[in-house]
Amino acid sequence: MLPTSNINKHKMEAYIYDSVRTPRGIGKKTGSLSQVSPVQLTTTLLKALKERNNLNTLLVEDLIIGCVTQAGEQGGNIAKVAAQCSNYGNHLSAVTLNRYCASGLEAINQAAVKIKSGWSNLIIAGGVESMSRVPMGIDGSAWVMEPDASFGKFIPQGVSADLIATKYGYSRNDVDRFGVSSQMRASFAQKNGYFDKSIIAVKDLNGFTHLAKDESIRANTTLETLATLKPSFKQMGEMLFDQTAIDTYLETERINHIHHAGNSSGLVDGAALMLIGNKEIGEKLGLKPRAKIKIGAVIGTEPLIMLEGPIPATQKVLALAGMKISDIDLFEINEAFAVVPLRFMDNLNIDQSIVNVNGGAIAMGHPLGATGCMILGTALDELERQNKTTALATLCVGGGMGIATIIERI
Amino acid sequence: MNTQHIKYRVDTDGIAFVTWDMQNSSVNIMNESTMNTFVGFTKQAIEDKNVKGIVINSAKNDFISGGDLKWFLNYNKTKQECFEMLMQTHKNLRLLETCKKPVVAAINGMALGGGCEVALACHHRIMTNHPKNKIGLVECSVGLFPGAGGTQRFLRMLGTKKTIQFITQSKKMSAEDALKNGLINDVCSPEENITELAKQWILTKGTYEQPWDNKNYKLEGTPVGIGQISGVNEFYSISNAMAFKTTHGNLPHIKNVLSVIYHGASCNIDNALEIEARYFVDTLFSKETKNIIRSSFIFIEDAAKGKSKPAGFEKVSFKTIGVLGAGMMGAGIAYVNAKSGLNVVLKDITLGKAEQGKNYIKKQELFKLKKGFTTQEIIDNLLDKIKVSESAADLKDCDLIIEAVFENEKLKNSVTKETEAIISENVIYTTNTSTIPISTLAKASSKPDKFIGLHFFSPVEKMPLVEIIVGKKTSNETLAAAINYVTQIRKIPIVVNDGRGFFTSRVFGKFVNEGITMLTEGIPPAVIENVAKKIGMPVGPLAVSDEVNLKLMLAVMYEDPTLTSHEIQLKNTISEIVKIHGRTGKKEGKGFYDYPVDEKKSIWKKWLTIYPVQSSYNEEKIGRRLLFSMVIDAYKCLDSGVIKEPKDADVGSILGLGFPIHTGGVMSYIDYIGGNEFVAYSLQLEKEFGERFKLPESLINRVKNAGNKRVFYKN
Repeated sequence: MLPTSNINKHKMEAYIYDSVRTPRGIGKKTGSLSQVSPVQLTTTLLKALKERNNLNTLLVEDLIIGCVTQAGEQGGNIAKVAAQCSNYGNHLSAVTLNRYCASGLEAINQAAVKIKSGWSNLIIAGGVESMSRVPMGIDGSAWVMEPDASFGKFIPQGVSADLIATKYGYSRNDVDRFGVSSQMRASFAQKNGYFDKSIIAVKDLNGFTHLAKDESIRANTTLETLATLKPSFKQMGEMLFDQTAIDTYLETERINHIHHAGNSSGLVDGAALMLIGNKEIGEKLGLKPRAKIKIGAVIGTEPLIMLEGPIPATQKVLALAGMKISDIDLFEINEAFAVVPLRFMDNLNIDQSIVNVNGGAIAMGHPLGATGCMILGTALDELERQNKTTALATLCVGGGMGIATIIERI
Repeated sequence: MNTQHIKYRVDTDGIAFVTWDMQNSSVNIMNESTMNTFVGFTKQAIEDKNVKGIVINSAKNDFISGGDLKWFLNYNKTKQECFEMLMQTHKNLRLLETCKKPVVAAINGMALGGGCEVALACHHRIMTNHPKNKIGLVECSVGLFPGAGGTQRFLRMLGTKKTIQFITQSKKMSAEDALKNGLINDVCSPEENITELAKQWILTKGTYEQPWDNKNYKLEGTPVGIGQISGVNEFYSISNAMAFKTTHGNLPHIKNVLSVIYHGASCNIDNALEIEARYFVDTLFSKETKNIIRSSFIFIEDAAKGKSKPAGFEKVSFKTIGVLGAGMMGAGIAYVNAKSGLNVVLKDITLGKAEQGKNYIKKQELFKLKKGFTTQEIIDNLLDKIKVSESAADLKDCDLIIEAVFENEKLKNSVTKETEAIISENVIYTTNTSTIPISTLAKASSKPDKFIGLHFFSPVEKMPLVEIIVGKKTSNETLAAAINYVTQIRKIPIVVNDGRGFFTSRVFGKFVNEGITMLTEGIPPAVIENVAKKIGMPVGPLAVSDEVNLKLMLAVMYEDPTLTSHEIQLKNTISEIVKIHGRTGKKEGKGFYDYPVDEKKSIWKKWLTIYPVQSSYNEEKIGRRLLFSMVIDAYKCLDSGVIKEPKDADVGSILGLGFPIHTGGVMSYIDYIGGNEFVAYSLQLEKEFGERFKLPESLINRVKNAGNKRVFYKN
């Protein structure tokens, strides 16, 4: 059931004053950002926000960071460590949150809620993930280990993606075509400087550059090159997890394993931050608001198929906003696996010409905790470039969730 | 000092010997009484200041063979009492391992289940390396798991991975393997005096601290801490998925033992033992575990011992068996006979055909040799036992004949006559048929009292069940001898009276029929197959039909004058499927499934247009229709005397049909669902789908009379 809209009852607005991100480095030991710790990725951006906006950091009240694998150097509230290393001042409080792949957008939403409710005036929110240094899964999880939580209830996301494809009849060719288009769009956007406005090069202590551009884009990807790749989840699925999916999705005779490295999001390192505040603080700091965060929503979905969340989350956020699909100029949906945006577009009847116009995580990678903030930033930059008004960013989330946020340019 | 079950003495060197020697039993079994005596003596040894160390050993050929499953099945106390009993055992074994005197297990033979658990609570284990000796925690194979601390001690000795693997799969280890894995500390040869070695260890080494009682002890692979670094996250995830894949969540003891290992790994030994007890109580009180203990263990064990043999007949044993027909079945039958040490004359119409049958056996054995499971010498001995022949005259010295020629009445009759002319008066003549009534075939025999059916299942060397089919004129003496024979070749007999399809084929036919009927109603074929597997059947009805072949099924139906109106309708449907759509089965590569070369089979896409799919379906109803159709027909077998006792139906259904073990079999299923629920649901199915779900009056009365109690069996 969809909620009713209360949007006009709230007077206070939350504005995005600035949006920055690091380039995404390949998330392997050979990747260009693997020398850089997640704390350093975050402080790079904190420093950039300060410099770009000539920011009086004493007015920044809180730092909200989304980060998924909170272990090792990403453990123990990495947001607070980054705050301490930022020279913003001891007053800066910080919190790290985990809503799996939605963490970066969840951080933005929570910041917006605090601003809109009057609890805070100025917050920096976003996310970070160094997948080369803190590998996915090393934080452990009851979901996969504890029999009560796992037995018949857990399958890896790749198997879920293949299950969606099987259920709705997407072929290997369908998902590969989407993979190619993500690469072409990302490569075109990169060449034409569409990302330059927000990208902050990551540099070492001497000022030498580690990385200035997204590292994993492959401009020469074709259907033919993708056709040579072996499905990534076939072996583990057939050996272990497919049966769990089939026992719930009984119409599935056999799962068609079609996702692979070329049509799924890449593992990368990266961080993204936004400066969010109310109207008064912007005036006080002499900053011009770029967009307002209209409203956001999260929703839980069936946890085995897991990745269909963007659809009900979008329906929910539109209902909360009192808007329709046609009111949205641009969509950003995280390309966790190609089938996720494909199913999203088909189900909600959205044309691909306004979805992920500059490519997505298949080309540029998905730094788990940071992606939500990154794609919202990409949407904002693109609204400005095309001189359009409204964008919606959404992500599928592990465990069966969806998140969606709407922004509107001033 | 001695009691009925355990002897106790202290020698002049101050070594106490606690010796298991259960009275009136060839093996040592753990139950309340033996355990109490055992604990009493260990306490005495602990308290006796003159005792320096304790040796636990056995006066039998084996050490301790495990717990008393009948006692578990009939356990009638409360959950609380059960928990306290388990905790008392934990306390006693903890007392033993923390008593500050060295305790040694002298494992002279099998140490399984509880026997292994007692050994694990000792400080040192020596085992005799006789090839037949095995040690292991095998409780999962009977629906339980180790409840005397085995899960936690094994875990702390071998780590998480091996523990999950060995315990959930009930794996046993030889002495050498156990030593390699660190489950025991030393091995000795069968010629050595193991008790003396145990004593010498106490006198020369004699340490008395369990690894887990050392404050520096760390268990590798605990679920707490950094997952991927030790692989624990993945490992548990894989174990859970693997266990779910094989059980579909139908066996609570498997999920419970995974929980015990998972939760126990993060605790100290005392808390871990408490966790084991908590989950053990839940498991023991589950319907599924009782069903598995009753049917898959006690009933099958009884059947394997030939307990259905009529009273008053001497045990007969057999030396030379004549097998007629060296096809797939004949060769398989010859194989199992030779493996059990019997001589076989394998006869076919030509020597070449008989040789072909023998070659099949040779091929299987060479494959085993390649895998290291046998030796050339064993193979040579085995093959020497099988004499191929093309002449009936070679059968003259056989003391039992098994005819396994094609399912053709005329052929079978002529073979009967030809053979009876050669064999001596008192030789039993058996026929391996799955469809033709024995009384009909017996008409060709001059000695119908010596004529009996033996229905082997394919592949014979793997399938343990044999249906013994008693014809109208078969004598009790012949039946008794046939039961002796089947147990001699280590197969499990059930006795069935003559009737169309006997028991297993007839009942299984209902499962296949129901599956095909559902397809024609528009239930998606994948759903039918998946639900069948999810409720615990090994294969779906449509896949089975493809194996059997629709043409064969039709032929059987055409010859059956007793078809119900539903079956006549189904016959017409199947006939259409064969004639119009050209779908028959796997042999032709075109059945309910397609069988592409080099690819996995897949359901034929066109079914969805031939039988348009219903918009919705009820999973529970699909599962119940599949099982109820078998259960009701099995009950009719019981009602009409095809089957004598409910337990024969349970054993036959589990071993012959792959009926889900957690239900206890076709008869136990009624109580698994609950008698009243079974009657009510059958009524609902009858209303919706017709008279095939109508229950016989006698079953309704049985359920009524049972009231709140079980309909079949006390426990």
